[in-house]
Amino acid sequence: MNCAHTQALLDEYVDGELPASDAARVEAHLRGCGNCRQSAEELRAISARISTLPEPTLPEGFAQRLFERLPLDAPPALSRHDTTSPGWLVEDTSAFVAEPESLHLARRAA
Amino acid sequence: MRPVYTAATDEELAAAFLAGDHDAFHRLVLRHQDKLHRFVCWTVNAAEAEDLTQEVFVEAYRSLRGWRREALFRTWLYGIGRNICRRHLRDQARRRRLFDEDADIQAASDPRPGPLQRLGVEEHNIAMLNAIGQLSAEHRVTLMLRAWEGLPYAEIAELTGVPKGTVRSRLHNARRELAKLLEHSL
Repeated sequence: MNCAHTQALLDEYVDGELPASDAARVEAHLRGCGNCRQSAEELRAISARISTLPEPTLPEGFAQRLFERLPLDAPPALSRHDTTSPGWLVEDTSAFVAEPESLHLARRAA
Repeated sequence: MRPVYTAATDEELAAAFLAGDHDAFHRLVLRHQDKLHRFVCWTVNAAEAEDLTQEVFVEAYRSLRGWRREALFRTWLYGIGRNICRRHLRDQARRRRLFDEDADIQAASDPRPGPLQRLGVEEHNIAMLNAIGQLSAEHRVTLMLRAWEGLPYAEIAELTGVPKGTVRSRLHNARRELAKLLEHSL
């Protein structure tokens, strides 16, 4: 494998997206090529720096504000028999968190 | 008695909503809001990211009946997100053409601080954030989904609505452009 071919596969190699056989060929080339090795290190350095950036977080009350915007009568309801029986629904009043405020608190606690 | 959505899939919640259960939509919002907000941030890098995220959910709420059930709910939701971001970027560019002397100003040069710049970041991250802000929207969101979110290419392809090969080339180009922009700070 030459430098051009290696460079073309370098992102996928660094991201762990290459099949094992191709990854082994890239590794073999990197062992003998300082330039390509440096390129791989630069790609890793960029990813590492990006991964440490802080998370853009939603302001508090986002869901509450959204729910207040949603009309209570939408969407036009299908009749119940339009949907298949929802076997994943469990009737229980103790654990369901549905009111906007409760949902918000649940989110903050999560 | 109210239902508990134990381990309900997105698709099941969407179906419950369409059957008239509003709480099911609330659950979908809570499940997707943080990731979708970051997706919008990565795409538009604009102060309006929160408002745009709200728009996505409102639009989803209004048009859920049009969701084709052969597509995953998430794929459909992010499709709405892409459209709203695209429209925002287009409107932003149009406003600049109308009001700026320099019609060639790029979206990244928005003088208002974007969400990436408003994070209260440490000094050493500022150069990185500025450089990321200069990437095109497609390059920026693809790079952040990979490097920040750690998503595999296939998932990035699904969320951005392009083939995996396009994800590959966008990542390749984005990283090299970023490396050039950061030449003196890496």
